[in-house]
Amino acid sequence: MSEIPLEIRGLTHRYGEHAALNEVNLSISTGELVAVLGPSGCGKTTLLRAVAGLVTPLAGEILIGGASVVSDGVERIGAEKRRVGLVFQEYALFPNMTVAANIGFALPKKERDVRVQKMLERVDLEAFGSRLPAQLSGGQQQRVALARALAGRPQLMLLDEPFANVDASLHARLGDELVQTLRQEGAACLLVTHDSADALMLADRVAVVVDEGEGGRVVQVASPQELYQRPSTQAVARLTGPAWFLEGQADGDSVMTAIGVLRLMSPRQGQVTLVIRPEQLVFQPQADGEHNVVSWQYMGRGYRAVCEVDGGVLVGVDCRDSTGSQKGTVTASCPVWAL
Amino acid sequence: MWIMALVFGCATQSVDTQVQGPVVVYSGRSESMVSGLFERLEAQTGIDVEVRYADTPELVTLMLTEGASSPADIIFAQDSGHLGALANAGVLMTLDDDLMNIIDPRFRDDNNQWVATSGRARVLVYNANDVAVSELPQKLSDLSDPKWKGRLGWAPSNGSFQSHVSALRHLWGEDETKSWLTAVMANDPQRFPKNSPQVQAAADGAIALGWVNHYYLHRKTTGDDYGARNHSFSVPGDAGNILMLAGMGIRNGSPRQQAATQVIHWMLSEEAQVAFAQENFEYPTRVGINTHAEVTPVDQLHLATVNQSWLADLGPTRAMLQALGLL
Amino acid sequence: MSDLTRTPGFASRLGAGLVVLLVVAPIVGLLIALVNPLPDPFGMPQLTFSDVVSQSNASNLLVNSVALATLVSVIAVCLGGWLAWAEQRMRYPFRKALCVASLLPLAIPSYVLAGTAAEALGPGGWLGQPLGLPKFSGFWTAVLVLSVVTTPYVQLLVSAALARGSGSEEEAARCLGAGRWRVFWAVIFPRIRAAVALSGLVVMLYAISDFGAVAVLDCEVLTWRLYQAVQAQSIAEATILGVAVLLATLPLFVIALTLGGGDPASGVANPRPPALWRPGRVVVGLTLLLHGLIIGMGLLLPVITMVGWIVSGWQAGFVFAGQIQPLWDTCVLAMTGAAITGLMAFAPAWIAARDREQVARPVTVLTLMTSALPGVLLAFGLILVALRGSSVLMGDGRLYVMLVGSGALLFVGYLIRFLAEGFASLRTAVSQLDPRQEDSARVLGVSRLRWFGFVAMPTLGPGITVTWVLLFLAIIKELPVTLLLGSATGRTTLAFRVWDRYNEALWHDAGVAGLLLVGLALLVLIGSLRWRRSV
Repeated sequence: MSEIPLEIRGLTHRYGEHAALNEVNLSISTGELVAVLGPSGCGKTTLLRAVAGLVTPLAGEILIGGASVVSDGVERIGAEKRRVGLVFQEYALFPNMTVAANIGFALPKKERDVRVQKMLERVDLEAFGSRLPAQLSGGQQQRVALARALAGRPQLMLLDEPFANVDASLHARLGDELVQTLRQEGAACLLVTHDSADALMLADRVAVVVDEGEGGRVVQVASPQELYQRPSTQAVARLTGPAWFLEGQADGDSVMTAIGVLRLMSPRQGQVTLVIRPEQLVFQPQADGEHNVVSWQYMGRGYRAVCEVDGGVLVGVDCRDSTGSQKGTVTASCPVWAL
Repeated sequence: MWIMALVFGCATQSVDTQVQGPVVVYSGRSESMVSGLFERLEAQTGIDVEVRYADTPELVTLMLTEGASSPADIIFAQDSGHLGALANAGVLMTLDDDLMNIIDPRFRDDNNQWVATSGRARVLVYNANDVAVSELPQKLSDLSDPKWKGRLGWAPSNGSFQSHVSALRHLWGEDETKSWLTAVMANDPQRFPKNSPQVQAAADGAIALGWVNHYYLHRKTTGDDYGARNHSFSVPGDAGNILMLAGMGIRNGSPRQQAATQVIHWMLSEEAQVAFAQENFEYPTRVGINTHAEVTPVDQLHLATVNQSWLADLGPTRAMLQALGLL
Repeated sequence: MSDLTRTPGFASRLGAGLVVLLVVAPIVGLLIALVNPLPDPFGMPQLTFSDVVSQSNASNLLVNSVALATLVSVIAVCLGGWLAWAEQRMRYPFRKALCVASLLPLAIPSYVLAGTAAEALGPGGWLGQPLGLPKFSGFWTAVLVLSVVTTPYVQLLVSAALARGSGSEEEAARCLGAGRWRVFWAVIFPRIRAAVALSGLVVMLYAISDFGAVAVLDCEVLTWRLYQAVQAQSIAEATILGVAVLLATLPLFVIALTLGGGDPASGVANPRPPALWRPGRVVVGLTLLLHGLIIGMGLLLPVITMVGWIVSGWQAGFVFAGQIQPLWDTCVLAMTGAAITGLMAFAPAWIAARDREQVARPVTVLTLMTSALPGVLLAFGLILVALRGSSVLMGDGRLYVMLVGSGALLFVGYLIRFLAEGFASLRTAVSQLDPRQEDSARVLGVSRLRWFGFVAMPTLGPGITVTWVLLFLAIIKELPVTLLLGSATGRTTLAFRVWDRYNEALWHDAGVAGLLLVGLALLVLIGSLRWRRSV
């Protein structure tokens, strides 16, 4: 029976007056990649450091591979012995050692050379073994940091904002490589980020953490699809992608809104707030349409018509071409989600 | 300040003959001893004096090194040996007879190239509680007596010690000096880097006898209850009774010879000599000036007859001390 | 990636070359003295190198000198390194105050500590008598005194290097399974290696060239014999011994430079402060004991002894000499000297920290070479060069008199004497400049000069301040160079007063001058310590 790589129960921590985490619960299965998504300052970095053993949380329990590493404010297994691989946002490579020495740092002498070579191949840096970190680009350093963390065959990988220092255009490619490498090594992974696109793209499940003043709490844990399509709160909806909110009167499968009657994903009754994603709306330019276009925005892949509906509420509709019209009708093309 | 000296320096060097500008004195004598005297000299004679203090040997080397470029006008040496060395090197100018006649004939240089301004006596300092007066050695050579084993102190690296041993080499001869030193070493004397700690050690009882210059004791005395006393050897003319002279000479080639001569005159004046005696507890060289009441008068010192140049003969002395392992 | 930015330009290479020329000047002067020796004023035959070497205990002196320097250096590095670690990484009661107090012995000249310790810990002293201690002199007392005096210097430099450590790297190492020892050797030590090696080297140079303490304590080393030779006006012999001292330091150089190596300059935007250690009772106890030793012996003992001197002098009704003029003179000379030396040390430090190995190594060696030269030889060497230069350029001694009278020769003397200390401190500071900052400045189109003025200098500010303070302290304590080259400027320093009065057994005056000296040093030291927080 394989042990659960990570289980967090009731994790709570504060720095002096400031509450960082508030009763956080989370678990990761073997080989799973879970992203922790949240805005800056929500406590997600503290969560990561607590799992790594760099911070001892005031309350709660963390089990890694079935073994309790910290509980009730007492550390039971130190950071050195937890066998987790941590990749820092700033990589923290050892500047006076070569790439190969960095990667081989955690390894016993016997298997060092072989494993280092394998890891270099994994991250596509075979020729760079004897370079110093200062001679590498940001992306290369990140890959070395990853290889270093993976070299010791950890049971759990922890990544802190892995693509924060990487060009936007490379996110997708690097993300793919990251996931592939992790799968090949069979490591479970907890990834912390504020970038929803990364989280949705890479993770098997996403945990959204929000700090409402009492410390970070897990608001919703679900697959990326579920999180995007059926967010549990406005905060989650905003974090996972562009969203607009409309009030409506629900009656079973349908709801009455300022843009007409829409279908609901699940039956509801009464006053509801609807989450609308841009791809769910359609714009029909009409000279006598009921909705005014406030502005047309060019987005590269198309245009967005920002329309005013229901007195003051703005929604954006993605269109392939701009018709430049000032009036039109906005309708929904598929069922929508009610919070 | 040094900008002024820079400009000053340029100005003074561009005129050849007797120039304005301070009389520059290289003083191997301590600032604490003589700065007050120089201030009084300036006030009374109006002569501007610039004194530079350092150790005598270094200043002498400096003068020799600088040669004709030396800014020094007067060398004020702590002991006569070095004055003699400078005289031998032709650095000093011959002084007038009327200057030489002011001082006691015993304290004059044969070649009239330097004058002694004051003297210090070599004595034994002893612990009054530990040692009865009757026990004290009456000759320097008695120090080799085994009864002093473990109770002596001396300072072989000190200049006065080396000067005295140089005199011994001439008074007793090389071999006898060497065997005396060896015998005293058999008494296991405590080494001190200089004179003043010996006085303190004697007062504390750490040593019974120390071989020092006389005036340190007077600096320390706070009354009759101070544990240490000075002792001079009672055998007349004994080699242990030596007077070490401090003195002045004028550099040959100094552009301010007249002013320098006036300075020396003042140092030999009654006022200055009384100051040496009363304030510094030293032996004045001017005829007719008395020593301080607490200091043994010079006639009672039973001085050995010594040629001042013997005190200068430090080279072979150092070699002997090194060979014996004392240096 | 940023190699191009880091190679120093022509200006700094020129500056470093100029400094090296100045530094080599006294050696040239001494060689002149060897080749053209003055006739011995006492008619002794001139000694040759083989004469001096074959003297009965010459090899003994050499061994003692090297042993003293090595022991003091090792002890100071261990103790100073430990205190630096305690200051930056440990938590224990009164840590901040104790660590500041442990730096204060920097204010005490070595000969003052030796003199007061010899008195206080001797058979008649206020500590020695009740404890029944034997006479305080000889080799081991010199080791003790010099170690106490130099440990704060190591603490200062290593602490500065430790303060810029990156906590992330240490955490990364821990997560990779490294225990505390491995984290130290693999991650922390490489960052401080250069500071440790350099400060150890400077301490060695200081110990081997020390004059005052070994004279007071009668410790038989090369400089002690040199002192005797100067007293006997045998400058030739003194020069030969000085050369022997320099040669004795060469192997030490090699060792220290091999250990030092280049240090990694990795800048992190906001370096995470490293984790602090709350050590066990035994460790805390030992650390407190160490603090006690340094503060007690290095600060309290000399201060209390000097106060005792003053009190007994006052009770005996002795007259106290005025000390305001020396105080002022000391300040003026030391401030100017420290500024000039710090300025001149900058170019070599820049080169040593940033240039290629082939250039950095020789610059380091040449810059530090003459720091082993005892002050008196340094002074004479400069005098000889100035005299020779004067006669060659102007036909007589006018230039020489100008150089001496204006103080130019004095400040060159200070420069050479203390270049090592300033260099070590500045180099550590320069090596911590962030190359990524430079690169971003270049990309923004900022010229080298502007970057230097507006970015590098403020970053180096704390390091420069520390350097100036160290130099100031060193100069106010200095004696032989000031005596020989400074008296012509008409200034008297407090160090001179202490020495002069101590020689004449006027202990009350020596005490006053000594306390003023120490007080001045403490003022400057404590006043500047707030800068250290950001070093």
